[in-house]
Amino acid sequence: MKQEPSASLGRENFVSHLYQMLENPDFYGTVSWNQTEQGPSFVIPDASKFQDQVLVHEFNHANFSSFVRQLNKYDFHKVKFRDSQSRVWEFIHPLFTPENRDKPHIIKRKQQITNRKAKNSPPAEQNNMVSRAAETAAKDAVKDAESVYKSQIEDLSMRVSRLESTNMQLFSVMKMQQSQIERLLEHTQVPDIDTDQNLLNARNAGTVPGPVLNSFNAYDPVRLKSAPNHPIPMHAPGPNTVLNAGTNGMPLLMNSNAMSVSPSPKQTAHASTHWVLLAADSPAARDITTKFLNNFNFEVDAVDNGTEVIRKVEAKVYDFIILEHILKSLDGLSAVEVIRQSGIMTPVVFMLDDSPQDDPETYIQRGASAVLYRPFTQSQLHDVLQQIQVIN
Amino acid sequence: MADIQSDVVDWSIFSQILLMDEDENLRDFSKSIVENYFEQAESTFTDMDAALDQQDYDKLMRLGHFLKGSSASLGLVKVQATCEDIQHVDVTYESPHVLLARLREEYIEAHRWLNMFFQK
Repeated sequence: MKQEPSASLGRENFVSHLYQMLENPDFYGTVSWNQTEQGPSFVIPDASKFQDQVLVHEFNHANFSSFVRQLNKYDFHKVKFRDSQSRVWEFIHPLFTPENRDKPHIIKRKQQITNRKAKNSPPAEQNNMVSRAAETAAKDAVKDAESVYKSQIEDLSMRVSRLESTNMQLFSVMKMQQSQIERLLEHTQVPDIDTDQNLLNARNAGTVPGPVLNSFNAYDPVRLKSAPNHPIPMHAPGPNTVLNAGTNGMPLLMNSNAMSVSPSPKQTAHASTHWVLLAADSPAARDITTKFLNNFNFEVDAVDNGTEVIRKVEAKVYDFIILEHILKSLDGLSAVEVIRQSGIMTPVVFMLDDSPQDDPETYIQRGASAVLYRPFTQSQLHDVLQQIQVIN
Repeated sequence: MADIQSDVVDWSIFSQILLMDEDENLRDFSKSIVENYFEQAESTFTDMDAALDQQDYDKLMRLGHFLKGSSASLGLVKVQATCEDIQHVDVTYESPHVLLARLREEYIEAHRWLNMFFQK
């Protein structure tokens, strides 16, 4: 065990510090006097805020449990709340009152009081008393420390899960932006890179860098913005080089005299084919919904997990997405949230089961365009698709 | 021909699948859906038994959802409803064993009905 950080403040000092802490207007609301039936007490509504703002300044440490132990040694008692869920801390000591402000020394450490009493007692009784007092004190300390740690762990695990989800969302947004950039660059694609002898020579000579992996810095943002949305012939922006998507989808620096831009095959296909992304857990649900959609002249990519949904949406433009909430790896709602946060507004239809757990409002609020209860018939599906205007 | 008025199956759903068959005598599409469903159901039952043995109720609930989706798509309403119960089972109030036994009976009933329908 580490040495008690506040021990360095000196014994009677601790009580003076408590008074100072309660007089400091900066701490108002973080720690304050309270009037109870038993007399004045002081209240800490939020232990972690108290730890960061008060302990650090007034007691030179950030250890709330140590603070509670110290209070215990001075015979302060924690006021019990009727509501066991309450995370408010309240401490009371019969002599710790605003009136006794100038007499901090009258509050002594428990150990001293016990010892002084013990001197006048017979040896056997003395041992008993000391050990009993020590035992109660230890028990109290353990109890207090336990609840402090509990709330600290709760607080930390909440922070960790918040960070984790933020991290995951940022990661997906980044990946999606990257693929959008790649898609934009595809419009300037040169049909055959390998026959461009100038490039090969230049690359062999080391004057032109090869594929730049995963680097946004390799793009010129101005040129990127000016990239057309539709594949039309494009003038080379610089004297000799133009950004181009290589066969691996990564940008290459190209010599411009090989420029002859034509629509990429994918783009041509997209004009006549309407794609739908379908995500469902069970195979029959996928097969039948696929068949319905085929009957409406949609091509279908069917997957069974949420991560795949995000991956597919990054790679292809879909007319709409139809999915259920419970999927493998990542659930449907989270997948849709990630998609929406990266700015993709593809319509989303959620397939729900008619159960009380499924509140359609939740789905609409979290990015769905429509909901559809299972099992549904082909014409029910048709109606919903008409509603969201992806079908005539 | 099986009685289409059975409470095993929701005819409005099941008939949709039949409509998708290009040849009404061969019934390629609907038969393959049903065959796949049987396979999925039987392997799911094995997994459910294992999950129950290990008292892995989370897994049991996921498997309930897994089978529910396919059962609902075929219009097998009773199996679907019990799958739903398994998906939301609270083991402090109801026995997963009882639910699973019920599910098995309803599945056998559905299996028999489907087989009769396709006259096997």
